[in-house]
Amino acid sequence: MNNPKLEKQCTPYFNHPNQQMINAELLQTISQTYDEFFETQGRLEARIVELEEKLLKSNSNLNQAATHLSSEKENTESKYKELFEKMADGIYKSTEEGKFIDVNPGFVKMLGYDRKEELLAIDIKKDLYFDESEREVDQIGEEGISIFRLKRKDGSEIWVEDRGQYITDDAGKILYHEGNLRDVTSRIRTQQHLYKSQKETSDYRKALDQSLIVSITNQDGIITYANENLCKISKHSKEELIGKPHRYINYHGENDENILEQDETVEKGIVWRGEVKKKAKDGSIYWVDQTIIPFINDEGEIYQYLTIRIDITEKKNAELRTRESEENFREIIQSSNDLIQSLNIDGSFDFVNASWLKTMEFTEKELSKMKIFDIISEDYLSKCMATFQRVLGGEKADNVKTIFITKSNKKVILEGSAVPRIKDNKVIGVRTFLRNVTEREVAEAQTAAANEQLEIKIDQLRESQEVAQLGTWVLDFKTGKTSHSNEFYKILEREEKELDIPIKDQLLFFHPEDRSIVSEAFMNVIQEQKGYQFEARLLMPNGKVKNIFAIGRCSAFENGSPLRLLGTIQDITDRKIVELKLENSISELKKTNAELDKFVYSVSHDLRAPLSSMLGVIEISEEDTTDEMMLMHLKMLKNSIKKLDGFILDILDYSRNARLEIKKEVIDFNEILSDITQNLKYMGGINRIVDIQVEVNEKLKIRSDKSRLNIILNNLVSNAIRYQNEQTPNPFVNIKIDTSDTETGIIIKDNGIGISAESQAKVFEMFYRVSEASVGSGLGLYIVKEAVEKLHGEIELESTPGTGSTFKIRIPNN
Amino acid sequence: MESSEEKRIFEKVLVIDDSETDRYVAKRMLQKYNFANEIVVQDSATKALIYLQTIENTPDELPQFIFLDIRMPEMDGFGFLEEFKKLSDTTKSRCTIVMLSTSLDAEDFNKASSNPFVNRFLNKPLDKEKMEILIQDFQPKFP
Repeated sequence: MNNPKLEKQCTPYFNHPNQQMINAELLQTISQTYDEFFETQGRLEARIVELEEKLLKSNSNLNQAATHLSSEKENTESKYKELFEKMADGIYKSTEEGKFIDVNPGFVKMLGYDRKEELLAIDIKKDLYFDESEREVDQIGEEGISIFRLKRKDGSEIWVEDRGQYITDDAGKILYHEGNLRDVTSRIRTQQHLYKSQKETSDYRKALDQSLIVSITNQDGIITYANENLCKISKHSKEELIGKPHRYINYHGENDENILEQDETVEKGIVWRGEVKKKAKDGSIYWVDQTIIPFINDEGEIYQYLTIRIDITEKKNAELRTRESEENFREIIQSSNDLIQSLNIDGSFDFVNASWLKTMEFTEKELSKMKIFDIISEDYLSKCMATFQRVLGGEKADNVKTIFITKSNKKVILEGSAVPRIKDNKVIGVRTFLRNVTEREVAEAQTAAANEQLEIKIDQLRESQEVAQLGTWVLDFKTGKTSHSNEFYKILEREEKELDIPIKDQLLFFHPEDRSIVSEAFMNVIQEQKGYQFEARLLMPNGKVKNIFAIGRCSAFENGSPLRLLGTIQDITDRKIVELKLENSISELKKTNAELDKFVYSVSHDLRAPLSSMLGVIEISEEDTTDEMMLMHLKMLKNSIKKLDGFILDILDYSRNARLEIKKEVIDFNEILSDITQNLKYMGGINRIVDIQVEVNEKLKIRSDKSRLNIILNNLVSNAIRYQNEQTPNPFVNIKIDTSDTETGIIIKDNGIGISAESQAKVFEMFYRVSEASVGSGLGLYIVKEAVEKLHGEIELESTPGTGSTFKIRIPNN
Repeated sequence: MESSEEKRIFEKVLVIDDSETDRYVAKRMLQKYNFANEIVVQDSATKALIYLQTIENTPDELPQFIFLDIRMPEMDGFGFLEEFKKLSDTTKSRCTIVMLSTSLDAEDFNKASSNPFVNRFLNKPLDKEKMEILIQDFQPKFP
């Protein structure tokens, strides 16, 4: 502040805490000041121009005079004298010490003296200057021009322009000082005044700029001035604002009408004031209290607008918030599901909200003639009236419970609170906020019933889990938490809290050897998101081991991912023990069976070994003798031995068929039959070669038990040879085998002696022999039947004595 | 019979059997069919092995053909085969082994068939038919 006076006046005001609340008065003052300032400025400027014109004129006069003077070669004393006497400017001649030697009348008049003599008497240094320091001394030999002030005779101030020089003699000694003075007081005064005004104006502006948002626009609405505050609030730089239309900083869209009105007003030359919403460069919104002052020149035309704004964003926001919350509140009340009512002191309705009307089915018109007591259920009436009175007494009532009866006579169960309505410290009624709990009450009743059912079911489930020794558990994939059924804890012999540990730590409950099975099953579940199934051993806290069977599967899929894993574990320890026993028995049995098999072989071998030795000796004896009688006896011996050997072989076959499991392998019937025919070719007995015809049609290679097929075929073919018909010239046995997708058919047909119908039913019996002529053990066909049955097949016999027999066998592939 | 005396198939044949009757029958049958010039019999597998070991360094004295019983006390036929495996390559390549047994055990048959030193498996007794087959199979093909 360069002007201390102005500072004193303004600062306290602007710094006042309530400066935001600038009143119209200040604005008035400011605008008046501006008015005055511009008026003064205009006047002063005009005056300066005027004076400068005058000055220019007098200068030119002077110049003319000077020109005239110099142009005249004859510088006569008289002419100089005349000029000296008549000049309005003062001409003087003074000594170095400060005494005038001579002055012209213009000089005397200029300094306000009456006579020349008075001036010649004064001490220049003392009497002509206000302060000696203001005196300027020209340099010797130079003509100096300087402006300074002098003290006139009456003590007033005169500003002069002095052109003077020292006159010296040829030796350089100062003779005197001469010069002329021009009165420039009015010019200087004007300049000083102007300077002061300017300074004051700038001080005002500074004051304004510091506290207000100020801009000036020209008559076309183009911004010509913007202060710092405007830049700060609008976030535009000065350069961006100046030259732009004033609308540039407006917020368009919302208060366009306001702006239009504002424009219309100020264009008429009337000051406009209002609250305007604006938008800053960064898009932020701010509010200003805006005053636009149109400036009108002498011709009555607007030449510029001064706009003064106060930032009211805070206030505006607060207002908006308040309004918003009021609106929200109203909306809440209206849209609330609660029944809100405002009652007058007599119980009539002052206000009810939309929900109230909807629930109670009354119209507002109907309501205007009703009282609250008309709609309260009889059971609650007396209690409610008491509450009403209590609230009218100024108390607040919480936990109000009541039942209203709707227009259509429905009961509405309500819960809530009642507060007194107070106006001017007087209770004017009751306001209640009630929640419709009818549905909740009904639902609660239903839930209670459902819960009871559920509890029964849970009990049943718990019971069945106990019976089945089956524990269930659930893993929540989101939280990683597990929950378990009671039986689960029971099986694990652990407390609930012991299982409240991460799933990976629960792995330690398992037997160390089984942990890999369990973790593998879980990894699989996490990757495949399906399920698992395994048997494993659990370690009990007391070191006991339990066998469990665990099944789990993912469930409750959301976006393809399971939310839960449901699992059961079943204590199968007892079952496992039984299984183990069974397994042991089976392996024991298998061992026994194998030993028995070995035993049968050993026995058969040991029985047959002496027989073969005997046969060997007979063989040698037959070679060694030609005695017919001897040869016949040897042959009889040999037949008996072979019969005994055959009997042993049959028993071996029977034993093997009865005990040995079916062992399947790929069957080549041609190979089997070729082995059989090879062995039977030289079969003893009747020395006739039987034509063995083989017909194998293997549509596919079947898998079956080779040794049993061998027993079947060997017995049937050897029977066909053994019981050939001696009357038939061409004995044959026809073996026909067909395999299909489902079964194998074997037909063995001979033209042998045949079997009587009576015997046909018995031939498959154990030790049945058709006649005394039978050479076999009576086991052959029995073993055949047993073997066929082992292979789940069936055997049929067709036979005619004297013609031949046909055995038909069907064996399924599986 | 005497006519074929000069046409014996093998120089030396070894019969290993614990049954005296069987050894006798075998020896007689082999002689009768001129199967070998010399028929050596051993009543146990152990003795047979010792016999083979003593003549191992003189390969010409080794039997070209061995009839081996399976069921024998102390060391059975398969035990003999295990020990036989340890004999020199010359011995092993020179001796053809035929199993001669009364056993009908498929296991015995399979075990014998899969043994690399066993030529075949024959059921006792060694009779005319079997001898004829052997002669047919092993008789030198020159006239």
